[in-house]
Amino acid sequence: MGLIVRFELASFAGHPGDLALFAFSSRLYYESGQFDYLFPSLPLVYYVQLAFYSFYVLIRDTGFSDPTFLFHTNYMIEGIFFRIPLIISDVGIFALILKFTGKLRYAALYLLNPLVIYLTGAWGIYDSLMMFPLVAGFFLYAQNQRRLASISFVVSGLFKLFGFVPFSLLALETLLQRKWKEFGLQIGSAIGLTTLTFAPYIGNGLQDFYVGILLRFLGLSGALTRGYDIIAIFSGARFAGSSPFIYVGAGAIAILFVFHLRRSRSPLQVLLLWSIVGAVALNLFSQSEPQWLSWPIPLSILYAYVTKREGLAHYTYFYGIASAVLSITILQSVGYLLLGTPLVFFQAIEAFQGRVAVYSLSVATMLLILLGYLFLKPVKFKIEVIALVALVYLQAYFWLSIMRILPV
Amino acid sequence: MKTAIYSILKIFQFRSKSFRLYWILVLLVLSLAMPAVFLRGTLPQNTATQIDGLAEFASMQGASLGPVTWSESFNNSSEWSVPANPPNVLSISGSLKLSVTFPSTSKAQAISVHRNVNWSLTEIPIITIKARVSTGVSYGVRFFGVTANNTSFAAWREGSSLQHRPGLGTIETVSANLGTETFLANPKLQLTGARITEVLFYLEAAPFRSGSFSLTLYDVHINPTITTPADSLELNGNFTGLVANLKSSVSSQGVFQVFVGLDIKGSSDLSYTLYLTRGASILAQGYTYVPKVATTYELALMLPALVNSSPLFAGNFASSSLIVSAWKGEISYFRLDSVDIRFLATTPSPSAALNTANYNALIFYYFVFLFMIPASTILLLIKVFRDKD
Repeated sequence: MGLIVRFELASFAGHPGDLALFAFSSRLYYESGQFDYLFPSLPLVYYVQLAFYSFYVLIRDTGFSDPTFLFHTNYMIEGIFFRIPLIISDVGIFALILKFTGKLRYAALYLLNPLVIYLTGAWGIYDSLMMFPLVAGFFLYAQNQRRLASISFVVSGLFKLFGFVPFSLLALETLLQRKWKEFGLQIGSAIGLTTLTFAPYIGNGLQDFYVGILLRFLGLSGALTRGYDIIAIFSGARFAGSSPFIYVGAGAIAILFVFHLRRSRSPLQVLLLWSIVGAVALNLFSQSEPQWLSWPIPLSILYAYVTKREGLAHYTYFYGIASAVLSITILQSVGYLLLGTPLVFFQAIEAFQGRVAVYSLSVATMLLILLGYLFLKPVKFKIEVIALVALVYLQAYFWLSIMRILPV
Repeated sequence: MKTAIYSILKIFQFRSKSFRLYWILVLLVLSLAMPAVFLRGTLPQNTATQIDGLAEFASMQGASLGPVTWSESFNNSSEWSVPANPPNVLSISGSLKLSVTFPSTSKAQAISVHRNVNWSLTEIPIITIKARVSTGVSYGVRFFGVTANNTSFAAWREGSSLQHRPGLGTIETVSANLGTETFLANPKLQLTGARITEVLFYLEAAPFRSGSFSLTLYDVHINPTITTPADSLELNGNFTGLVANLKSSVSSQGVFQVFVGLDIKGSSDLSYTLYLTRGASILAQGYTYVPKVATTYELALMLPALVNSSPLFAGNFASSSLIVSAWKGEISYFRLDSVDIRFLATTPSPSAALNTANYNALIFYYFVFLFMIPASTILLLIKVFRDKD
């Protein structure tokens, strides 16, 4: 069912901006042979896209004429080929969660999560590529294969930098245990894999990558763009990438991780918990793109199984539904992924004043509830949580959009 | 040492699980990588192209505002003319205030105040206007001039940021390049020897808008553009803008992205934006950038979708230019490192109108697959497996 809905959505929906970027980079390579050193993300994403796009090239070489759909910037079958590695990753995550937990419904909570389906099937963004080795890393860690887990986290980080969060925590754990050789191997493998990934860029586009992507992620970029996090929205601050608060968050997480590790008998539980907290912190204090909201989902499902918090697992499903609805209606408009151009269908929930502030408040509330499920005693998922989030949304809507108490 | 060798050899034992998985992984990676290597550059279509803008580089100059060459003193009311209707009050004493009462009517209404001037376009003058206009109405400024052989022309156009500006009720400062405004309104005009001879400010009200409104001008002055040519791709000095001219015009069709690698230093409050122009039209605009602590190098991105303003300084109207416009502060050092202009073939838009009524079925289909089917499946699964448990 997860495969069907993804392929069905992939056949006609897509993010016109992101897919145009991916299409440009792949077409440039296969049409003129030029390697795109200005690919808008990490190189490993580009390599995977090129690998799967090669099969599309084979189809085009037979003379196949690929149609476009409505206002989309890419061709229809072309768009599906961009989704294939993402769908494979989602299936891989499903299989890993199933193997880890032994419970089909836990695995289904991921595969059938609307936010994940939306990102992979409708949008075409590559967060699943990062999450697959991330989840694999925790799986390997649970089997006491720390070296492979470390490598898996590095691979995850090379798809999207968040993967380096659990890698850093794992390296910190190794350091605390004074396993110097092991620590050296972990760092060495990270450096080796990173160097291998960036090898084509050496002498060609390394400076551009450093300035265009790395500095932006660290909040040291020069471009003034707006983030969707609650801090940026209400302070009016324009953070170029991550805000300075993220460094405070990073330090706090590292310290609390160390304290918790010393007191806990389950290192896996500690690593999972503080990786999830890291994902929440990034969503609260940094650029907070809507696709980043998917990162806590598979990790929370694993954590829910390890700590017997079924309420948390069920909450991630509601969290996914609400995040998808908020992103679609507020940040993009219902028509954007469908038609390839913005078009408002439901004026009242899509085109109201102060909507990004309402979005950031609602998302912040859901993330805080997630933290509650993580840290407080295990409770069932109750319908009252849905009512609470809806109430926050409506209150924010009333005070920020109708009463306009703040100029956001 | 023996243990390490033994554990490595174990992986390569034939028929061991690790051995099979290892080779499956290798085959998988090879089967994906090989086509990517051998099919490189084989697709016959030409939908994605990239050109090196530096290969088209012609010249570069720094630009800044020269000293004020003309300034309105607002102490001689005879210099300004205003019609009798609609009834209005014009007071000029250190500033100009035009107050008007619009009656309620089904037609749009307007009033204007104008004066004669004599501004040479050869110096590419920059006009700066400081004004306050009541909320509820719009305002604009228009220019008229003559060429070197006294042919009249209008140096304004609909679509300019100087037209139909909503009144904010607060003081705002607007600047515009009169050379660009004139060229956009008259692309074939020879600017050499041309002069602006009249400036006109207007207030306009939409149908059924009535009440008392005012336009107050606090400052109107002209600065010429001072340019400092660069010998190469590098420039030192104090500039408010930089213009790098290309040898020819960039095609306006299918511009997708423009990446500019540059080194820049300036005052601590420097903020700047990049533009790619074709003649006087803006093809792409970048984000607003500030200097970074980590490095002087910036990789600026420009997109057609970001175009929402125009630079203060103009490039070569006969070709394309890359313009760096400082909104605050000054640029003290600039070096152009790279320019990559990317084109992506655009697909033709559908002929059906972009109307929600045409796509309701598609929306329903979308929500069914995105929400309804997954949620129903999950509810069923949870119920079945909870009962089982």
